[in-house]
Amino acid sequence: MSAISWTESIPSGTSLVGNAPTDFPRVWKAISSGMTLEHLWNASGGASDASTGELIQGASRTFQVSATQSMASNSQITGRLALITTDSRSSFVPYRLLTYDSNGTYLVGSVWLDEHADSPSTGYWVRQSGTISGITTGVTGSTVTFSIPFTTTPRVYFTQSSASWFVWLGAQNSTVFTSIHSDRAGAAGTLSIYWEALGPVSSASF
Amino acid sequence: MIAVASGLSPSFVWPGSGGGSALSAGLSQFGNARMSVATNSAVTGGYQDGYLLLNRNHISIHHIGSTWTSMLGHANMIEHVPSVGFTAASQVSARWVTQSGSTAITGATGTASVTFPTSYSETAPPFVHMVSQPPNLPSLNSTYGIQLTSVTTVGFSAVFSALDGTAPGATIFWESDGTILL
Repeated sequence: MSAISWTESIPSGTSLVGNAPTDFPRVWKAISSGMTLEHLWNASGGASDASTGELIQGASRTFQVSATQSMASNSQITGRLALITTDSRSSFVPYRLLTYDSNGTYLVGSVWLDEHADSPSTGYWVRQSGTISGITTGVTGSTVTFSIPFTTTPRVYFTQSSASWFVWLGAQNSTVFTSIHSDRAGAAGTLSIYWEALGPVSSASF
Repeated sequence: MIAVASGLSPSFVWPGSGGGSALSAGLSQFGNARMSVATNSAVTGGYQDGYLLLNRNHISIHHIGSTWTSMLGHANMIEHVPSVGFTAASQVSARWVTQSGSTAITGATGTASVTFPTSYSETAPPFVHMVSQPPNLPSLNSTYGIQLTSVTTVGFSAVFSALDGTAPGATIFWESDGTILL
């Protein structure tokens, strides 16, 4: 690409018509040269009229904002990305990625994101949690159906509200689990079981 | 030329002294990054390889790959606040990793030892929690009590004891959360 020769006064309203063959290509070369750092002319003509342009990979840049800076969403910035790079409230730089939508601003990425060591393939990892409450007597199984079915049997963990009870994991599969509880230690009162399940779900659940 | 420069200015900046002049070369404006915006159906394709897609049904970012589409971020994702393993200096080079698995136990009492498939790299041990599943459900005979005894960056140990003395064995399901360098 030749050196840019961006001169907005050429051609001017008084330029000679005979200069057009020289001036017009100069215009196109100036534009393509000026954009070539971050724009790719990927069609057969190079920076010519046979080309259509697109951004070079990595050329697009997100907004850089502080954690306390708010940006009102509107239709002009829907789908755009912002990267938080400063936060005066914390000693940690909270690298978070936000997306602006017409109805709000959402967190969609974080340096503190939990990731699972195992690949979920085309699906994604999901935690689901809930409470089994109102348990008052005996040895009884409580069956819970996951609101989003897992693609494989998930890991299920419990925390119980009373030390007077024992709680175990009963039968489970990708859609339900059963908790087993016992008041064999001489329990009194009401037991609540707080549960959490971790496993992969289908991309159809997006 | 003025029209061209003006038309490009929302997305490009001409930082040289000449504005849209011979002294300028264009740069992408901050905020120029803009994803493909679509609903759930576009997650399965429709855009070129390497594109970012904003799914507006559930506010999630997806990478359009050549063989499938992966989710990169989600408004409902879990953010793990920095504590163990993170310092102001190291946070840019570490990530939280969850691992999970199961191990079988036999006998009335004993010790179960688990080695993490991937060792954690920070000096502080990861968080580990467990649950046991007896084999003869729904009967509560031979249920086990389990207790962590040691946790390191490479694995953990737990002692177990059958509560009524019989010993049919059981399965311990575990999950660990810790940090690994990028």
